[in-house]
Amino acid sequence: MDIIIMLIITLMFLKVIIKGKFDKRDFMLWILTFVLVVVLFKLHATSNLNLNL
Amino acid sequence: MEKTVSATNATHATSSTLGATLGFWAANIFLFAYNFVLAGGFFFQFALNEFPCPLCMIQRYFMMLACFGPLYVIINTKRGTITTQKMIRGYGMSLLAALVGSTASIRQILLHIKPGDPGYGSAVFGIHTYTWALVSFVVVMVFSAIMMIFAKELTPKGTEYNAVATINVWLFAILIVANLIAIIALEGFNFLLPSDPTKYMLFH
Repeated sequence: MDIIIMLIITLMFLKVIIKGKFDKRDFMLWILTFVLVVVLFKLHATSNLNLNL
Repeated sequence: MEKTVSATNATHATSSTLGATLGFWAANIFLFAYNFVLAGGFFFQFALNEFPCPLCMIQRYFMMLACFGPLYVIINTKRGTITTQKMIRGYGMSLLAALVGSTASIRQILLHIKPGDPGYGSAVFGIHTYTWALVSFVVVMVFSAIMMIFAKELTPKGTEYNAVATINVWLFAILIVANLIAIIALEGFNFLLPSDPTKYMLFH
């Protein structure tokens, strides 16, 4: 999953640099990457502790 | 009377040019600072042979996502299409990435907060890298908030783009590609990184 995230970040960056602009599609790609990183965080940071919030 | 009006206009023009220059350099300093931090991560990984844990990598991703804010401002300045709205959108991206990134840092700090725990990896000036990451995220949040508050005054005019910005952007490009290669070597053919990596999975 880390590789997928880094691939998207790299492609998004290269797209922005080559096109020389950051349009709505790139913005959507940024949001998608953001959501994927949050999901990855959730997968790694799930606790078994019976925390009382 | 006319002289007073023209003098006031001249003062406004000077201050707005100064603000625009300041806004452009602020975006560059932001990007350069995170370039430095990301390069520092590689120093720990390759010079000190410390493997980044999954939470370390997640913090790096959020740092990279935060960098797309100033990058958005720099790219639009280069094209001459920068507006106050775009400036706010860019720093909004940075603010969101830093906010969620800080929770990953806090999570890692809490994992090692017990007295006697040596922490993960080396410390810099007595503070571990994940705590420095939290400091950086807090700085980015405050910085982005200030840039958004004064967005109107600090919006670049589109004429500030220079060679320093080009070098800065390409430095970021090198770090992104290097991170991609490093994570392929680290994760190999697995879906997730092991919680305590000790080797490059691609070669084992």
